[in-house]
Amino acid sequence: MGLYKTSAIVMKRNDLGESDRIVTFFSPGRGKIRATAKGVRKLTSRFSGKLETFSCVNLLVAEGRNLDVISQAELRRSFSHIREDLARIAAASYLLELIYNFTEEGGGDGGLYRLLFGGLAHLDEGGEIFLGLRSFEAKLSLHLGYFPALHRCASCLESRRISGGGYFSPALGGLLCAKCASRDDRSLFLGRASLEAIHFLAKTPFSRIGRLRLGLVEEDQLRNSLRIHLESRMEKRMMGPDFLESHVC
Amino acid sequence: MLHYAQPIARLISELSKMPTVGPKTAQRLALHIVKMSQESVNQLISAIQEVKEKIRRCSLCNNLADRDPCLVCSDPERDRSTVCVVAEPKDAAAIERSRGFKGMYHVLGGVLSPLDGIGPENLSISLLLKRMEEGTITEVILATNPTVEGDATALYLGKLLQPLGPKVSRLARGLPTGADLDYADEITLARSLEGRRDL
Repeated sequence: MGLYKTSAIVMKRNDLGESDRIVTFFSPGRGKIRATAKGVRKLTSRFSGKLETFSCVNLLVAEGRNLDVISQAELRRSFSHIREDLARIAAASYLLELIYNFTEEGGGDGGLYRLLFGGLAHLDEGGEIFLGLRSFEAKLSLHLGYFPALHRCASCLESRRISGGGYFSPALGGLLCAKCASRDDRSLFLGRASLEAIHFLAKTPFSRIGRLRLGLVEEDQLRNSLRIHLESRMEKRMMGPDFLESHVC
Repeated sequence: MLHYAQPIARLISELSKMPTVGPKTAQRLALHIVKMSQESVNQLISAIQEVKEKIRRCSLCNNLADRDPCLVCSDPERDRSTVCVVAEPKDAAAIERSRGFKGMYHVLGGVLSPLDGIGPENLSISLLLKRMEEGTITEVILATNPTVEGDATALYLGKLLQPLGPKVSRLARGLPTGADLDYADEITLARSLEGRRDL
C-alpha cells in the first residue's frame, strides 16, 4: 500500500460519519476511484471547496485496505460557471451519470477522461446545451465501440434502402430499412438530416458543434434515439434526461 | 453474528441499520448498552418512544416539532414577513443557534439532485408556495448549502419565487472564521472578494 498521484474529476459525494465524505472520482489512469476525504465537511478543512461535484483536481491519494484516503487535493478547474445555471447543472449531472454507469473501478481510460473534461468545459464556457449533450452521447458511443450502424440496414444489410433515413432499433444497434422495420416494435424513425447530424456530432470537437442547425423534428429524433441507444447498452434507465425535461426545459 | 448471544446479535443488527453506523460501531454501542444500568436503558427506550409518538411535521413550515404549529410558527414575536428556506431541520437548528435570525423557517426536506433523481416533487415546495399566496412574506432567504445540489435548489426556487414579488436572497459566501487564505479554494476566495465589506 502506497501513495499515488492522479488528476481526476469529482463525480459523486456521500457523507460518512461526523465530518468525512466518500468521494467518487473519474481518473484517466485508474478509472473510477472511491476515496475518503477526512474532515471535509468542517468549515476549516483544507479540502473544503476543492472536492465539489464537477471539479477537476490533482490528487495525492494513500491506498487503503478498503477505501483509499485523500492526502492532498489541488483544484485544477472548478467549472464554477456550470453552478450558476440550473439547466447546466442538470446537463453536467447527466454527463457524470453516463460516465459513472459506463465505467468500472480500476478501468482507466484517458480518452474517456478527456471526453468528460471536454463536455464539462463546453457547458462551463456557455456552449449550447442541447448540442453539447447529443455530441457527448454520440462521442461516448463511438469511444466505447457502441456507435450504431447507420450506413446499412442492420437486418438485411442493404445500404440503398436507408439512404433517405431509416428506423433506429436500439436492440439491434443500428438502422432498419422500411421493409425490416417490423423486426423491432420499439424502433424510431430517423430522417437523413438526423443521421448526418449524429455523424457530425460524434466526430466534430465541442468547440465547433455550435454551427449545426437542427429543426424541431430532428431535435426530437436525436434526443430520443441517442438516449434509448445508450440506455439499452447500459440496461438501465437514466435519471438525468427526465430531470432536464421535467424541471428545466 | 454467531459469536454473540442472539439478543446481542439482534441489537447489533438493528443498530447497524442507522445511518453512518457500521458493524464495528454497532457492536461497540450494543456492548455499551449491555453494560448500562437498567435506569439508563429505560430512559433511552422512553426517549425513542417519545420521539416516535410526539414528533411530527409542522403543517406550516414542515420542520420537526412536538406541536402543530411548531414553537417558531406559533411565536407572536417572530417576524412573519421573512422566511428562511433550509434543506433539513438541522440547518434551521444551526441558524437558531446563531441567534441572528428572528424570522420564520421553511424546511424543504432535502435538496434537488439530478444525479440521485430527486426532483422538486420530492421536496415541500408546494407548501412554501401556499405560504407565499397568503401575501405576508416580503423576503425569502435561501439558506441551502453552498454545494452543487444546494445551488441547484436555490436556482430552482429563485426562478419560482421571484415572479411572485418577494425579495429573494442567498446566504453570503466567503472565508470561515479561523480559515487560512493559503488553503482557500478559488471559488471561495472569488466570492469573498465579491462580498467584501467596508471596515
